[in-house]
Amino acid sequence: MAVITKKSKPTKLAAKDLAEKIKKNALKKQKEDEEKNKLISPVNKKEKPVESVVSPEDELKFKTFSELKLVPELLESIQQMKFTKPTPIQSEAIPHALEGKDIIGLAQTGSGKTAAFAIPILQALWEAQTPYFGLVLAPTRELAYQIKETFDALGNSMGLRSVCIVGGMEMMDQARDLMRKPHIIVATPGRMMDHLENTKGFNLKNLKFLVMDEADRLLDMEFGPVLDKIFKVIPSKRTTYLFSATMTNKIEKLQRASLHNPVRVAVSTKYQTADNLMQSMMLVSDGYKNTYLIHLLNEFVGKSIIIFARTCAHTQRTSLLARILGFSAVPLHGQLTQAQRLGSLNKFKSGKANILIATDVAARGLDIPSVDVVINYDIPTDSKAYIHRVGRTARAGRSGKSISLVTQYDLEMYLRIESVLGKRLPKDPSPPREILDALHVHVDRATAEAIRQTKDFHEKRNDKIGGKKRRDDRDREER
Amino acid sequence: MAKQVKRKSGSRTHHASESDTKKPKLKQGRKQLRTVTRTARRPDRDAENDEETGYNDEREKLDQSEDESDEEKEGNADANDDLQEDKGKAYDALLTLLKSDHKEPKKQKNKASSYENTEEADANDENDDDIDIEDDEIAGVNVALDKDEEIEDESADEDDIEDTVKGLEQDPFEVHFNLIEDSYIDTEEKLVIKEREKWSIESKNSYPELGYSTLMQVPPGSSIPITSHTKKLSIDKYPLKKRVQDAWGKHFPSDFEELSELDRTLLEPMLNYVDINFPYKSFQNTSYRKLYALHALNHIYKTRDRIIKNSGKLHVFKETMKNGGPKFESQEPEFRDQGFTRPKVLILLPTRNACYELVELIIKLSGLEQQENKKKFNKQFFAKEVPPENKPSDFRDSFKGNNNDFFCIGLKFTRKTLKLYSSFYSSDIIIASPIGLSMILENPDKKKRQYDFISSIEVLIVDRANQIEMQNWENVSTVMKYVNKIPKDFHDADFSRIRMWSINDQSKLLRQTLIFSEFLTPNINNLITSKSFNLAGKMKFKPLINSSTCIMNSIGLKLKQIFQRFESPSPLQDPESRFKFFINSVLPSLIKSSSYSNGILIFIPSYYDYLRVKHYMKTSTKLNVGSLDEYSSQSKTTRVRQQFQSGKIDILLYTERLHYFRRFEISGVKTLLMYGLPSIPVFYKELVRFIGKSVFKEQCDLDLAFVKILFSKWDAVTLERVVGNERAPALCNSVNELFEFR
Repeated sequence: MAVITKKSKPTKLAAKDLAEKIKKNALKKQKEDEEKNKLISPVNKKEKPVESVVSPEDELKFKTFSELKLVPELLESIQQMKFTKPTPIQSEAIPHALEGKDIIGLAQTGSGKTAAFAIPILQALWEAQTPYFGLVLAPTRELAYQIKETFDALGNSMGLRSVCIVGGMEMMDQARDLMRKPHIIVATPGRMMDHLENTKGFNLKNLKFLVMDEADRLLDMEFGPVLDKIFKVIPSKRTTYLFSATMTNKIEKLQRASLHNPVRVAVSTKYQTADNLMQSMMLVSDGYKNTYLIHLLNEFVGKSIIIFARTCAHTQRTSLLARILGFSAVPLHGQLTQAQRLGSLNKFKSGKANILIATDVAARGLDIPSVDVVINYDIPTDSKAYIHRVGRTARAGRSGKSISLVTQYDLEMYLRIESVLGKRLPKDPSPPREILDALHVHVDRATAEAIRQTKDFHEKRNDKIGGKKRRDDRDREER
Repeated sequence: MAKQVKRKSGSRTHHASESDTKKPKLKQGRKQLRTVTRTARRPDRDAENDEETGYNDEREKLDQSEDESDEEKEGNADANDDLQEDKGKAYDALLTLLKSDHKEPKKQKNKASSYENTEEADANDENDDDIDIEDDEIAGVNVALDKDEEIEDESADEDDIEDTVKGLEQDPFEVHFNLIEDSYIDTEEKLVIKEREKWSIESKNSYPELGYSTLMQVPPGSSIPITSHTKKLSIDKYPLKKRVQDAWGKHFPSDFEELSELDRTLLEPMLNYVDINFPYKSFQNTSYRKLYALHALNHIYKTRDRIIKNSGKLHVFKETMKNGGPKFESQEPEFRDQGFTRPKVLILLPTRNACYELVELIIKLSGLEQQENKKKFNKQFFAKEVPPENKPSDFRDSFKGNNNDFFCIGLKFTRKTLKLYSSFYSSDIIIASPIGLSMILENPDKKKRQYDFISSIEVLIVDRANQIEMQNWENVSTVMKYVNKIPKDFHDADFSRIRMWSINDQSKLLRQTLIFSEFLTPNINNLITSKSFNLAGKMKFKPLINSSTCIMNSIGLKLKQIFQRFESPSPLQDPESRFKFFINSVLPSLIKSSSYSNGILIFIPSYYDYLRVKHYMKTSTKLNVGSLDEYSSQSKTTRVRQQFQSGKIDILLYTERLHYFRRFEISGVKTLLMYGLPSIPVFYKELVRFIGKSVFKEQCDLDLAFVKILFSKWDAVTLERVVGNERAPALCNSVNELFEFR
């Protein structure tokens, strides 16, 4: 058992009294915890939390869910979902969570994180049965929907009410949903704040659980101000879970989430990609990028593929290109309406389209088990994003492949990623010259057409919006 | 966007005193407008009155301020002339106005906007700012949030039933709106809306002494229990707020101790929030108006006091929590006692005069001493004009006073005052004409559309429905589309106080609909039958019309009246079958069998049928035909009537709507053919008397003249009014197709 737990104590806070309060709470909690659990080591005053790692091969803390003292309704749902054996992160996090501790959880994607926080919350909810019991924040709308689905499936037999509050949907409908007293609210931060500010009569004074999924992303600059506002209006006496595949080390960011003596559980190393993932790269010359891509799509015909591009325009253009050339591709990026985004995702999930071309909106958290190949059409600008991207494949024990198209201009960025990964990726051989040349003519023509259509798309979109700032903009997301 | 609008119109206040500064600017617009008024036709609106209003306004201003510009005086003189000129042509103007109605929808918009201009000017007279005035189109419109919202320091009346469980259970208001179970509504929603199960008839009663029969329908599953079953004699025995009871006692002392039998029969279901469809038979029977005004006020006061009481309780709770009262465990109490928006009662009326009369009644019954904006209201809604003596009395009742049909006004009740022209979102009652309201709901400018303020209507009242039907029933359908729709914006609603059934889009299951009309028509029935889902049930009143009370009996002429039935497979195909039957058998035989070759009047109720028949007569026959409808010009009408009387035209086509708005006496009628039965029963008598007049003038012989009426079995309701409820089934169902009365 390689878990080392540790206490972190808040050091600096803007408001003195708040700090005092939190300190008091923390001390109180510490005492309780010490009494309860002797496994916890004495208060560690180091500022940086100790990285505690469990490798997936290690012995599990519990072998089946029935060993945990869960309510029968919850167990029933777990069995219905065919969770037989807990995943490492579940085995590490759930026992601590059931003890009522705050948790920072780190685990690779596809390792059952959602269930790891959903199960303890639902267990606690069973006791209390109060509305507005838990709030789950996620950085993207798609992820929020996915989390809600997991909650619904797990809470099905205990009569759970949950809502998903994300941008791009009608405020009024959501306000009505909130008034139906859901137990669990899954939300993106911007829209959540919008409701806390504008929906009179709605508050989270009785909130017991706060979960931040993809926490490092949420704690980033972009969401900072909104999160600060949310933290101000929810009770400080609550349980907080942070979950992510990659975790920030900046302590001040974590303090923002005001955790009390969090238990930090981590499965796998800081930056690790799944083992059953075959990663490779391909050197291409810039003008031939599209040709290489189409060649690869031909190679993997029939497989389920996600292609990542850097910008919305690239995404839109590439998906049009693929479609012109007869592939069933759907785009997913921030410039689509929420309905279009959901539509694309559903088409891809259901297999109606086997190619999804996306920005980093789709890089995190999305759980689509059947993805066989991830292609990095554009190299991601930071290494974390790379790990998240390739994490879309090789999920839940399946094998997968990722290919990065590296042009001469991307080399520097690519090398940085390699250094983070700590290994050099094998180089795939270039396809024979004559095949490329034959393809290139068609691809070029199609690209020209795709560029034209992309322009139309943007013009149309601009007309529609008419320069007016949309309400959704409060809920800005990754690109 | 919404914010902008708010600020804009919020800055507009209604104090007449500040108005002087910007006046000169307005005059221009006003003058232009006058020309517009004279030349353009506006929908359903009396030009005379319009001019009249303008005239009054200006004179009043003259009185107020001496230093009016010369221009202004000229304008005044102008108006005066117009007035003189127009006096004689009052009804001609009205007729021309009608034209816009359904002929060319596009044009109508223009007219409507020219209309708006008038309104603007009207409003300008009382209003201070002219900057935002363009937003103001319909009398009474105020969609902004009130800026100077007074702080409602109000306390609830202490006179009611205490909040004991028993007390609440006996109050129909609480039972219907507050004590109702969510699960019950969910079940009923499934039955009533999703599965569309049939409503069952709970009871049938007949009150021969009142001349009515009633039919009570209840929803599938179970209905909301009715709390008080006994009809009480005196008004203070009913579960009403003491304030309204006192006011009633003060103003209608004769009715206080002992309500009439009919009033009691109406009041009981009304107070129990049951839907009512009540034909009041004659315009002279108006006592039902007191009842619904009473009911509306009672509803407003009950809601208001409930909200204030609950707010008080919440406040007390918060105070104790602050002062370190019982910690933790005590949850904040939950009170769900309101809808998304404040207006709870919507009353649809045909004319401003009707609105004026109702507001006067409401003021009396409200028991409030003070009214805000009353002067402005009188100016905009009241006029002394009365139609000429020679017109029938029901006509004079319908068109008296300010018969402008473009208005929508909010009434707000506070502890001491009744505020007229309150912003819609802070009003309790909205009184509107269907066209006025639907112009707000479906404003051609999509950005200006507003429908949120009628999202939480709990009592919908349509009075003088027949008159509204003659205006344009489309607008009522438009209004029905938007009533109880989930609003788009929040309008500062406190969601923790909104009732669960409002949140769940179930308000339509609890909305009470009250329809009052002189007589029943399919459109009016339809409002209750298929557009209302009130779980308390629906009560339909039907007048008992036997052969002695039917309209045919009151003609006083021994004239041959032939009722000819034709086969018609369904109501939808009725116009088609009627037309075929008309051209194939009626028309050829009419020419042959009629004793006189000229003086044939063909009365056609529907405008569409009229167009079809007219087209056929003009293109496919060589008959000498003239035609008059509500869109004919004044000169044409005079000419055609003259030609018909003198025999230059043999056959005259005449529509019901024209008769409704003009009530002509057509001379020279020797044979009368009714293409369909008139929907307004008294018209039957008036039309038949056209022949009587000819007989009297010795232009034809009583024994040779006759009336022929086409009908199908789908006309049973209208037929009943003419021949009585004993004969109607026989006429519709017997093997015989031809019936003769004399």
